[in-house]
Amino acid sequence: MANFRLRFSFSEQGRGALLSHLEVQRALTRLLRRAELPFVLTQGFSPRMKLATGPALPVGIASQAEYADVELSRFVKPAEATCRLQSAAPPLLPVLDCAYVRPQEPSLDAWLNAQTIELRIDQALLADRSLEEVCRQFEAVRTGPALEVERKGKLRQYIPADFVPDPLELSARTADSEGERSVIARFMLLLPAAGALRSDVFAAALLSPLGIDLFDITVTRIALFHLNPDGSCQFALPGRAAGVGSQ
Amino acid sequence: MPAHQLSEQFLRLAARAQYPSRSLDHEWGVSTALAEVQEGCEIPPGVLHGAFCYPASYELGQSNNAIKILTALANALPEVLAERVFLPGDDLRALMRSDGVPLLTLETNTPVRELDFLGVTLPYELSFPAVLEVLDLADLPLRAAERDESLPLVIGGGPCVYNPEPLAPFFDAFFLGEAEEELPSLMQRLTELRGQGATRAEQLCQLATLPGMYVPSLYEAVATGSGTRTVPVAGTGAPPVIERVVARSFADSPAVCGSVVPYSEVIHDRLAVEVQRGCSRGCRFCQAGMTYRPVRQRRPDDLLREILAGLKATGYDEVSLTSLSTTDYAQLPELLRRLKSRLDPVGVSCSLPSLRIDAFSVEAARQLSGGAKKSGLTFAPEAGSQRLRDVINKNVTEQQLLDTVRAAAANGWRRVKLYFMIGLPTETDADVRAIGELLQRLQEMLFEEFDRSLARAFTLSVSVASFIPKPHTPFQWEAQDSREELQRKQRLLEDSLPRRGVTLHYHGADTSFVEGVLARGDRRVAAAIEAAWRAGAGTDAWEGNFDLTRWEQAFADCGLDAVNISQRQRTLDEDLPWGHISTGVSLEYLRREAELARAEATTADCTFEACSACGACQAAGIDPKTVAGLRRGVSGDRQQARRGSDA
Repeated sequence: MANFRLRFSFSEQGRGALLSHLEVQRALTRLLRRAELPFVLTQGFSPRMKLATGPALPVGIASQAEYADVELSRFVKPAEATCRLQSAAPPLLPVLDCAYVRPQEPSLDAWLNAQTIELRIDQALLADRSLEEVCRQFEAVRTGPALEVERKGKLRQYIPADFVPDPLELSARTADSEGERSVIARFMLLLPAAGALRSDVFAAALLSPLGIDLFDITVTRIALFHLNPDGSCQFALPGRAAGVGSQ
Repeated sequence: MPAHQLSEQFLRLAARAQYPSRSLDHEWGVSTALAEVQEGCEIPPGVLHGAFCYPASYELGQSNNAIKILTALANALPEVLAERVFLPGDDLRALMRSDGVPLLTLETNTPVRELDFLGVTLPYELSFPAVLEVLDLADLPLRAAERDESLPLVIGGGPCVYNPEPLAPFFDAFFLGEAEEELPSLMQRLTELRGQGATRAEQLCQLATLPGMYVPSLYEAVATGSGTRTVPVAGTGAPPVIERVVARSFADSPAVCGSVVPYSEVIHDRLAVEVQRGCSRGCRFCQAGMTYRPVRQRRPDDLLREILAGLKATGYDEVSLTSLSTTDYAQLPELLRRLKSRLDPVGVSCSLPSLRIDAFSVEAARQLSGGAKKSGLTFAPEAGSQRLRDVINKNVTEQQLLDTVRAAAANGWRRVKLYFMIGLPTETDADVRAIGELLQRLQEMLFEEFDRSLARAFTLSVSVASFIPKPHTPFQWEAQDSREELQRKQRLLEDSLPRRGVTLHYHGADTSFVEGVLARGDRRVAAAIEAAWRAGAGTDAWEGNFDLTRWEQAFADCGLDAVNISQRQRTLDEDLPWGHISTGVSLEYLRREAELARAEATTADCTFEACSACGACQAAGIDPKTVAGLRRGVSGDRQQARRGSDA
């Protein structure tokens, strides 16, 4: 009997940004059990829930919408499923929405190949630097030499422009309720299957010439989507286009 | 600094540390009242605001069942708000100190020094310096006498509380025993006293009259001609003996406490359900076996109902049936059968933390594992020779161990872990070599009875601890082996092991020495604990952090003869520093068991046979008939086999 593939979105904001990908996956399986949805188990020696998540979010990076697919053995109305998921979600991983997708759709991890990242930098950290000056600095990093990243004992090189094809969009705005000014930088970061430049690595490289620590700013994945060869975007769930802006 | 700024600053520091998710709180299942405070609600005036602390990292502390029980009990009271406190990792503590951020509660990020009370669990002796680390990071004076009216009462409890003297100067009070029945009245009394404006000293005097409460400042250590006695200071009215509190209604208390589900992976990341409390096996070295008596068991129907509800509330995919000896739970086969039928279809597994040495345990493990990969089984023969197993009252025969390993191999396991101890009372070199000889015979059995490839692939993983005499056990008077002697025995054991198929792991002789001093020391040891902590021993209980030289220096600086505390054989009539604490097990029973050990005679498990007159049931107000014979005819194969082999 065919199963049903339910896709749901959730956010990881505030403290939730400090969760690792494995911790999020573990929290989601427990969420789904609490929601008492009719999930399907694998048939191996150690049966596991058939759950698949999208591209990993580095620790310290917030997200407005992440996605996960879970296989169900019977149909549950999306409105009811959303309600159950929302009431079973832990405080740092609120569920936003859900919908069914066709079982033959490609996996989220393979299909979601681009993201929009936003850096929110307190104006005070930039001292008296102008927006234009910051923009120049950022562009120098984006078009600059390869970034070296050591992972599992191996040194890998990433040319930033291969992953961030377009210049960053910068804007200054009164950002929070206390009226403190921030500079907002947005950019599209590609997620190729062959290995992606991590958003935290690129953000740290951008901030380094300015003497700003990554931990002192807010970095958020504001959109996660599929980028078609013609430059158009598709989203994992309807109504999730917000924040794509910069491509 | 305003509370919300402190919280934000702490979070920024946590983000820079390893494993930031340890500091996140906001987990699923936090009590409603605490969740409301997290959302910005003010704590109502008059509420008793405190925390329960496990003096180690979040992943260890959140695994501890006592913290779950205590917070659930306290938060069930409308006038109490109880949070959790854990010790941050080395890197985060350094960042906090350099930025002037004190230790905060987990849920509301309240500075610990602003609480009304801080309950601290004492899991084992080497965690004592970690308690000082907690107090210092919280910006609290280490010594209770130096804490003023504005600061929280610091109350200790847990497994190491039965000789509280080495920690006496650091605590305002200790709670001795099980909290289920007395914690609510303790909290209510404290709320009343604070409401009445009672001073700190007045509060402590009142608390000293409650069951299980020991207020060390109302007592003094007196050297007698024969040891040290701890007696009430004249005129305080404090009781001369403090009796451990026993949860008589254990069977009716909730088996699942709270439903907090951590984000980060903790040591025991599953639903833990305590099926029984206490152990009647009577191993003479085991402190828990004495201090959690008498045995009390929950009803299978209640357990099944609570496990299903607990899994639904938490979303865990594993449940662990915990106790000191879960395979001694009388209705275990029935419970496992019913659990398996309900849990298998939804992919929830069930585990047992410890197995006794018999075929039934292997059958239970086989039933639980089903077709899943079989990682390994763990058993504790404790000693290699029958003579020494009789000395320690480990009622296990070599034949039973052979049968058990045979059953494990036949049922698909390829690895068995065996726990032994060295340094046990009356131990000879022959007893140490007997461990190696026993392993040799196990291997021979595997090669004789199984396929050669299976026997070659089968691993015996051996873990060898050093015996440490613990208060309130029949071995509390025994001398502990010196470090040099333990190391010699370790080498002797290595030489006697089979050449292949055995992996060996030791517990360090150095840590055992310090643990022994902290376990049986008196109040003078407190100065050495403080000195060692000042020298950097705050997290010596954590793997890789222990440094013996810090302790040796601390003992020397304080003029403490640590070797004497550790290695001196006491006489059975000596006054002991913990003599004012009663666990309910009588001194006469302990002396009788000590003498039986010397005579290499065993004492039967009272749940199979007659009452052994330890005194625990009478002290707790429990009819011994409800314990004696509890399992007679249920699964008494081990005792029957033992009688057969003795004959």
